Amino acid sequence: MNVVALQGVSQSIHNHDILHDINLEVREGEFLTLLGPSGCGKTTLLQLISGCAEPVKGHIFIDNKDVVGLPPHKRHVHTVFQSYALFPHMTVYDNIAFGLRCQKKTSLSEMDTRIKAILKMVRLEKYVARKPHQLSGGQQQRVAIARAIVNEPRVLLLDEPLSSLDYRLRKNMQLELKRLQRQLGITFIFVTHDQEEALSMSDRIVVMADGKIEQIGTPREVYENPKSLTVARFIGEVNIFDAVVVEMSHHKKLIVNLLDQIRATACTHAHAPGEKVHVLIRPEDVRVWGQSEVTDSSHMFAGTVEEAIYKGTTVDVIVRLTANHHVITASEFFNEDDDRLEYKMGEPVWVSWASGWEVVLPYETE
Amino acid sequence: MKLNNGFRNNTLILIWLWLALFALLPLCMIVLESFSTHQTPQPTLTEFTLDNYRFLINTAYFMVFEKSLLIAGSVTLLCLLLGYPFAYIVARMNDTVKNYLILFVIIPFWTSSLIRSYALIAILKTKGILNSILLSLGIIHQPLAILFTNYAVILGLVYNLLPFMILPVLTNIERLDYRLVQAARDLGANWLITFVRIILPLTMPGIIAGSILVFLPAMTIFYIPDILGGAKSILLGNLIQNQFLIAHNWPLGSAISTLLTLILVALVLIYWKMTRSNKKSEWL
Repeated sequence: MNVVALQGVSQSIHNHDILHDINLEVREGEFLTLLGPSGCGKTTLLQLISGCAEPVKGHIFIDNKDVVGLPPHKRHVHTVFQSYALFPHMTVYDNIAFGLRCQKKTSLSEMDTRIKAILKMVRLEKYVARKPHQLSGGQQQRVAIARAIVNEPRVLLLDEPLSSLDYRLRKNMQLELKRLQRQLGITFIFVTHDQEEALSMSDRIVVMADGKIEQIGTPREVYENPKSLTVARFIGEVNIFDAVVVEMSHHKKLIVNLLDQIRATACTHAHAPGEKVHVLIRPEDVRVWGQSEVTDSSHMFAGTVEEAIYKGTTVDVIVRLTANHHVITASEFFNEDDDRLEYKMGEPVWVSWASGWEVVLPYETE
Repeated sequence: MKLNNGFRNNTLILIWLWLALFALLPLCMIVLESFSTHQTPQPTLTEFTLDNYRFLINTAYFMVFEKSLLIAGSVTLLCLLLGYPFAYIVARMNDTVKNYLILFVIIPFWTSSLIRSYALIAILKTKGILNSILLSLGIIHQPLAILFTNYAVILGLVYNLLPFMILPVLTNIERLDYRLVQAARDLGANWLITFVRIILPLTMPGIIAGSILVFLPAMTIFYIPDILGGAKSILLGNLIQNQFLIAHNWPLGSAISTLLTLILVALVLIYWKMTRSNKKSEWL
């Protein structure tokens, strides 16, 4: 069951294309994230759903009803704004009561019960009488969310709601949002440019770039099987190699020539021999070996350590490959039985990864 | 730092001295004068009397207060009704258009307001421009007698004081975070609720500032009622002017001045009280 559906939606402002032919279906009760760099059109998409803006082309359905042309107050969706947009002259209670008072559908006592329940849910009972400027950033954030969900919208739109919070608070709010979403069962459409946030919170991620949808999938799908270089580059770190297809073997294996090594890779697309492809490998899948650790270097690449960056849980080793003078990044986790994590600059090493862990994409000319 | 402090103190002292010498001292003299008798033009406390005030309360002079309040009140209201929508629209324009529109509001200041008030006579008089146009268009069949009525006075005051309403309100609306309006709309408020519950309360400081800037001069400007109201329309400003310059009754003029000041102070205090107690803005 789709709560929101967009069909062929395009938007342009001052003859400048912002969204191009967007097709998207949002399922009931899911946590959907629109992820993309700033300027990719994700906020515009949100505004089109909320009614703050109208598309130049296409249809937007909420509960199977075309809402294009319907003003925001007649759509059963609410927005949590990036700036929170709390009413500065009203108390927390009045801010939260605003939507209910506008609709005039609920009785006074019911309204009060609902507001009290929401206040409890977002842990703000003590602050009912405060004005927004008397609250911390995280508290304001929770008022903004409470103000929207108290009206029980079909869909809650969240426009980068956590971007102005500091790291620790953001982590807490991520968990809290997820908890609220599960508890309420309301569909969330969440906009962010933070890939980590998107991966950890979403049921599905919509990766956007340049006004187009690049890929829709679960966090795992978009991370492990990116459909394009843009997606791979935007979500997580990735090492990209150019390779040439040698042959397509029977067991869904693609044999490629990668830096003059013949390797078998996992593959989802069909490729013709001689075709150029990109081979992608995540840094955490790459292993680095010291000279003394290696006996058989037939499936390894030689290189020299350019830099080793200590990151607490991992060490990122940047290795310049001898074959093509490009760098490859490897993230190595600390292991009790592996004390070889201290690398010297310029130290010759071997780099390898398990065959089949890479992603092969059609060649893109940039 | 030391130098900055010295500069700050000197600046403050200079202004304070200036105000004390040319504003506070005259005000005290007027208050003193209002308690003296007609025979002593110099302020002195030897002949303390409340006669001037008694005279004011018991005579037709008091009617002038009422009328002045009424006219100044209507002028303020009209300025607000005309100025607010204009300021709102201008504030939402892009910068180039906005600057031109603000310029148009300010341009009339380049000519003396006295001259412009005389120009209004030419427009409003029986055989003036307004009547000629209305007659030739067949809207009216007899010239309207607007000049030398209260309507002419109100018109003249509104015309002269409108910018004092527009500018503070405009500044306030410009500062209004438009995302709050979007948020209200998003939460299900129609335009009326959004205006009454969000825009109006948040632009109230501008409205108050504008109202004070319009109301105070409207009570005291004497040449506009003089020119446009003729001899018929006597307002506080004219009354005070008459007492000082024509009747040479300085104590009575001072008493009227003092009473006027008290009324204005009272109004500002009421506003202050209102905003203080208005902190709980619940509505159902």
